[in-house]
Amino acid sequence: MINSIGLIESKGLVALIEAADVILKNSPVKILGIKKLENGLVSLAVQGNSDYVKAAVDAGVEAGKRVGEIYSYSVIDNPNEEFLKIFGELFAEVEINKTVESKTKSEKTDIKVQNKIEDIFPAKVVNRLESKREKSKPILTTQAVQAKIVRKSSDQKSEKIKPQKPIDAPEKNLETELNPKQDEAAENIKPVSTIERLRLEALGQNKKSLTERTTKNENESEEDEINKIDLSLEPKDIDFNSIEKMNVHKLRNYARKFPEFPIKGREISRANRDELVKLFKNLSK
Amino acid sequence: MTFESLGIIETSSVSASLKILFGIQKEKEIKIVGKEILGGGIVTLFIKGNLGAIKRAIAFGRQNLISNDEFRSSHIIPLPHQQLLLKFDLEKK
Repeated sequence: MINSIGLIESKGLVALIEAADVILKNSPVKILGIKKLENGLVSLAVQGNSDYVKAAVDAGVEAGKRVGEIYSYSVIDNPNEEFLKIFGELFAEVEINKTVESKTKSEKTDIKVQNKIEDIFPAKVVNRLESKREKSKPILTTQAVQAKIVRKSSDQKSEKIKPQKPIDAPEKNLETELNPKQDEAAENIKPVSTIERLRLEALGQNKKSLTERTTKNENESEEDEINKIDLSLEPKDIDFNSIEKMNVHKLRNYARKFPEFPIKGREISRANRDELVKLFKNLSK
Repeated sequence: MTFESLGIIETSSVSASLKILFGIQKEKEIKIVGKEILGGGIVTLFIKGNLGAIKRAIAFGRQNLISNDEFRSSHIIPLPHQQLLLKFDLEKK
């Protein structure tokens, strides 16, 4: 009932102008226009809130009757669109778009409310609110904040990180060595879906494990050779090549095999590797 | 600011309105702002100016024309609304 139209018709302009003046002075109502009819009839159209329009028409009619002839009057509440079309044809000055405001008002008010919200709240809060509505969209503000934090941390801890880099370097080298193989595999089989990507990653891990196994096998083979040397050695001959490769424990065991060794029993077990090596050298002389 | 009041005189024929115009000519504080010729011989004159001058003009018209039943009605708005003047094209001086 926001929009309603009031009409006053009079014979002669005097009564109508008096009515229009009273209406304009006493009520918050808009005058749409005046239509001249035949035989001295003139009609006035008024628009506004329904209660105000009713009051305005009553006051205008009373004021007009004092001065001249009021022919008729009426109030139309909540006019239809088709009615407004005909009404616009009758009243050339009437703007139909303004009379149909009731439907478009909601959109305009929404825009106004958004502008007000933007004025009151900063853009970050609005973005968060929108992100709550649409969870698929990422929050831009948090990303920006994270990026800033990362930069700061890198600037501050750059000195602390530097000594760690050489330790991390060999791992990176391994990764870089392994990556070309993965790249070749990726080039051979282009990953269309995530499952294939995962397969390729798994294959890369297999390759890693294989390389690790090979390195382990090499270490084991060296140990076996040392053991073989130990078994094959006769007590009188001293192999310095084997001694240099040996552990402390193996050295001790090796030393106990020699009856001519200067230290015996618990003294051998207390001795260092370097001391044992020196004693071996002395024995050879 | 000059607060000009509005006077409206309505006659039942064009000749009657011309009579009134002839009589009003003497008043120098009045301007004839507009006229409306409605159907059925009704002619409306809009006068703008000093309130006293308008009252005199209307009294003159009523005295001369009331005998012939040519004078329909008249009205004085001492301080017309701005919107009213805009709607009726009476703002020109």
